[in-house]
Amino acid sequence: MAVWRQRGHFGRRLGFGATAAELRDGRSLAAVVAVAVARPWTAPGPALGPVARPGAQASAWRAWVGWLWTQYTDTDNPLREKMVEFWRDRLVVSARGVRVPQWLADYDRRLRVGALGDYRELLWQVTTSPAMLVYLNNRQNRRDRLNENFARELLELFSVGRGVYTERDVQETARALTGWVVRGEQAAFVPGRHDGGRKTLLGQTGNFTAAEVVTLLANHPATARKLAIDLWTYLVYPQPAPAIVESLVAVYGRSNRNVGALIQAIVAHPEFGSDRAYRAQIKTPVQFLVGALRQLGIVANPLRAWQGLRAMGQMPYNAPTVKGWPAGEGWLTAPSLLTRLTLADALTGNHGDNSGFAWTAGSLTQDDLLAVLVDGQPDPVLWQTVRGLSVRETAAAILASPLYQLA
Amino acid sequence: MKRRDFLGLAIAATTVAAWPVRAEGQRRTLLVVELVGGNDGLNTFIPYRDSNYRRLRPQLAIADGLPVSERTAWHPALAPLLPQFRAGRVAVVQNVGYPNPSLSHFRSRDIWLSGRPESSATSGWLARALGRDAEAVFVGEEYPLALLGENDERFLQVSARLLRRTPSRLDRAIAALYETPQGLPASERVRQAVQASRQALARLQQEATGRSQSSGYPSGAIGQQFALVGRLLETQPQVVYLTVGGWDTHANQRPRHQNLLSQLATGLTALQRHLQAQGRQNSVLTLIHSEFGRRPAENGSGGTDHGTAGSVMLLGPVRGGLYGGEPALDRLVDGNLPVGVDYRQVFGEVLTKWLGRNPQGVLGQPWPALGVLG
Repeated sequence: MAVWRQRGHFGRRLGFGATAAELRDGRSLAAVVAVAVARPWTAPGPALGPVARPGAQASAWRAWVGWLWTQYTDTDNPLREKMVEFWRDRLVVSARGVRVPQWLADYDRRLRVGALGDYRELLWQVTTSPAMLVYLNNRQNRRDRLNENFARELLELFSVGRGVYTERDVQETARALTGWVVRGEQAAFVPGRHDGGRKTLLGQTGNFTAAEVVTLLANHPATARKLAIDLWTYLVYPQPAPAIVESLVAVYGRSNRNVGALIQAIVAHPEFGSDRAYRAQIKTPVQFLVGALRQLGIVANPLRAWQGLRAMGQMPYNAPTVKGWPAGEGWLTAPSLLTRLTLADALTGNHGDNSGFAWTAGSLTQDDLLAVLVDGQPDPVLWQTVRGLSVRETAAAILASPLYQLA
Repeated sequence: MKRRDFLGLAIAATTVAAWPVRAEGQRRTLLVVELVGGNDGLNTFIPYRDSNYRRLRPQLAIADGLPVSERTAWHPALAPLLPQFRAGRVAVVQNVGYPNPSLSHFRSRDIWLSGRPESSATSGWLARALGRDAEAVFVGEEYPLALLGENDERFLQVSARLLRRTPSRLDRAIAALYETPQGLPASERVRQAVQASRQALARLQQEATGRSQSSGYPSGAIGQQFALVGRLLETQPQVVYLTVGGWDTHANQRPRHQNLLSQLATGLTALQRHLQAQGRQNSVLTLIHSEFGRRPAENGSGGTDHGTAGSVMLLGPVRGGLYGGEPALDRLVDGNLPVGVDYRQVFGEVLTKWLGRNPQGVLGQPWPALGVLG
């Protein structure tokens, strides 16, 4: 039971919920993480074809949605997938702002490749991606006609955070970021649009280019602090003690800003599996749906799954603002929660092709379901309630329970 | 009370319950009833004189339809609505679809609800038409694309799941889970959010039940949804959107379809009585559609598979009659009906004539009206 608790907790925080096989994994958590962070992303992205005129991209959108959905549900490295989800929510671009699935797919690939590596490199990939150049207008940012949108978010959200920089720093950063455009389907640097003059930002002076600014920001201690707190909040609980933050900042410095090293340090920390962390988060809609599908091996029609996410209020790459999705408590809304009750039934029932989900319960018992879905530790009400239910009803009741909404 | 941003909205049903009941005024309301799963148009509005119909459906052809014209008969379960038709308050449009039909529930539903077949389904036709400050309510289980705005704006939702009069064993189990306080702070917050919504809905439901006795809403699940819709219509919102599921009749269609149509017809009829009692029968237009019609040839399990063109019904102050021509059972395309009317013609006319909106911005281009609305 203690093992299920540890594995189940790990599976929810470093993935979308452990499968039965992952629960039985005999390796130490440290070993599992070490292997996962070391595995590079090499798979090809979706084949979406060339960018067509707006209005003729419907099939490219569907191919993109289908591909993205498969990554969530079929991944054999859930840790990377969960971290890609983290970056989508921190380095936000939105389908409404970008409107070209090919660019979103390119952006997603950049996040996948860089999700567990050097944060400086990830920031650079994001800065020079067509999706971000479009979404935060940096392609319009040129010498003598600055557009500060990306520069401001780069400082406020993607690196040092508020309280560290001045308005002057925003302008100077914007100057350094000038010159990048989107040509055809690629990002390109146009020297004639770049402001090559001297800039002073965050106390340093030089003829900074975009690459130099990104390096400067990635190496700034405030960036390390912000990332440490953010990552700890995502994987453990909010408001970590100063000693924890400082230890992670040290890891960031020692490891050349390596995100994988930060994750290893977090999982190794005694607080990771503490009572304060256990079952303390509320699952996002994506975590709920992807988790249910993965944990039970349910096969979903991607468009159907997308509609479920839409109904719960969270479609990937559709965050309401550049600040991302609401944190856990933000999902305590009636539509988000009540839709989960409906989906619990749709996911596990025998409803034919109109449900869009297919589940073969096989030889699973109630005990198996309780082990996989709630670490074999249901609350007494849940334990009592599922007695007398069929296996399918049990699965639905657990998925619909207050307890299953926790990560 | 204005529409609320979804993410800032704690408890939708509470908000709806607090909307004032308007005794006066004749604000127009559009009631959309979406039949999710693909309603069998051919057995709803039956080409009873067409020998192809009986040939294609040896088991499923409806022999005792109610003729409303030389060529078309209604399914007998629709009998309660016949007086409305005879009074010129029902328009039926047949052969409705869009180019290159998709036989996927999910894709076809996205196409209908977005109003944009050729692009990504990111927002809904009604949300784009209504704009930010409209009052609209969704009654159903999963929030529909039709009411989702370009920037993810949402209207209010009342969950129909909580309405079930005869809950299943699973429903009872889930209800029990939410009745007992939870030991963990986070799961207790989840529980309370759901319970608050449930209680607000129960209040609405109680009011609706009080009214339903005089209007004669049927006691089944669909009838109770209509009773709730009747209660919501008293607040005179601009749009009420109701989803009714179960229309995906691949097997054993005859009794299932009969039952669904019967509940639909009695629900609609009770709603009309309810509106009439308030003198509001000409202030509410009801639009009924489904994501596709079903295959003309029956399948091997006493059912029908996914099809293309379907039928749309409009009820209220319309130009009553039959539109869109006969189903061309002699000119099937890959076994399915050819599309004669684009669904955006219907949506466009509703937008222009009923909601007073410019359809071009919503549907991308002007569409020729059918003349179903005066």
